[in-house]
Amino acid sequence: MTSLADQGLSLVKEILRCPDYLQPMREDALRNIFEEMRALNEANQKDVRLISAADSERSDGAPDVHVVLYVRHQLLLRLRRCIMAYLDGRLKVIREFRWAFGPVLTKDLKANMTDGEQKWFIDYSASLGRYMSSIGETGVDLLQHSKPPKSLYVEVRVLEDYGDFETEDGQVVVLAKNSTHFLERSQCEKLIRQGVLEHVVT
Amino acid sequence: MHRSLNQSSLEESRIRRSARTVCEFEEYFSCDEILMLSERTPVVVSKEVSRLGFLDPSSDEENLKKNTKLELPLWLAKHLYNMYCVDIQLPEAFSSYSVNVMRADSSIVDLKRLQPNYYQVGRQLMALLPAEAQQISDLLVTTYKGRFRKIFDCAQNADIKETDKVTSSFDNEERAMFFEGQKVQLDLQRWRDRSQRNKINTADLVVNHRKRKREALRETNSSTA
Repeated sequence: MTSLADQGLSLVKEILRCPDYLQPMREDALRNIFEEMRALNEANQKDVRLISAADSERSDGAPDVHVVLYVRHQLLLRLRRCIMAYLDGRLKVIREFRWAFGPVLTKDLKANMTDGEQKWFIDYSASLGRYMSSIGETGVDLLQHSKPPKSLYVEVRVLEDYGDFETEDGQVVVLAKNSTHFLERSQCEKLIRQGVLEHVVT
Repeated sequence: MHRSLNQSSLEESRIRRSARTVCEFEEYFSCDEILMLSERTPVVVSKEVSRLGFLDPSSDEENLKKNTKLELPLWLAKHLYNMYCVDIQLPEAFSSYSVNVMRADSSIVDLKRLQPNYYQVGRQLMALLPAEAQQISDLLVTTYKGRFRKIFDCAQNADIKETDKVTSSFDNEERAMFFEGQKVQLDLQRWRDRSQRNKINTADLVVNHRKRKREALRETNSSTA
């Protein structure tokens, strides 16, 4: 009880320390905090019962516990705020994943996500997709054209083996490591963002 | 001294203060704000409070005695102050000694060690202590004036390798400002370089993730070797 929500603070500090990387969920710390909150709540319930009992007897003998009640209550609120900020911070990182890595995450990215967070990612992906297809008549891909296009085709170098890539006109290109290709800009921009291709500028 | 004796102004100041407590939640989810509100603030207990003895680690008593000196996190100090249980003292960073130092040359002060969220805590204290508000506000402006030029200069010209060294004495807000300035400078450089201007870059998150993966791989390799 003397720790004054220090455990909650340590969670918040973790979020601040690595703003672009998802650490494993700190289940133990969360469980400890929940335990602490339960203890605080029980202590408060006990004191409230004490006060109301004293009130009904109209005696002045009851100790003045209002301040300690208030302090415990504020501790509860504070812990809640810390946990909320922690979870919110994690979701922000996961949201960035969607924009950087695309809708399908690799195993090592998923490793540090909880089941709930994975479900959130899928839901977010779906609602982003719905939103993008609702703009205009044919829909707009917001991940496309992050910079004003200067040319229709760009030269790209493949950084990692990707396999077959089917272009919109039906041609199949084999993206093997270290090969270079001349592709339509709109089709390979996402792969560049994901780090599969590198844009070669001369 | 601002807690005047007559009842009506007491009531008024309570209303004013509770209005301020509400604006505390400018951003409920902001990690920076939570961190700022956890900074230790010296307080003196102004009346005996029963069963709050656990706040004072140096005594085993059940009740909190009058005139006990404590260091509480700012958020708790604020709530107890609103309950008329404690008086908030000025932290070292805002004492008259610091005023003199800041007036002389604030740019050499190590704010990170003194008070990592100097400006924000200062603003909170201004709201809490109307009697000292003017003094704190002058102090904040003096400090900022003396330091801004250095931050600006470092952001524009310091070598990127020296970032840690340069920012080691900055307060959190100054640091954010510094990085903003540095980013703009780098963006400008990239734009000036014609060949880089139209290049589509890999997302930063992906690049950082790759680096981490490579590090992890190297570590496992070296441990097996």
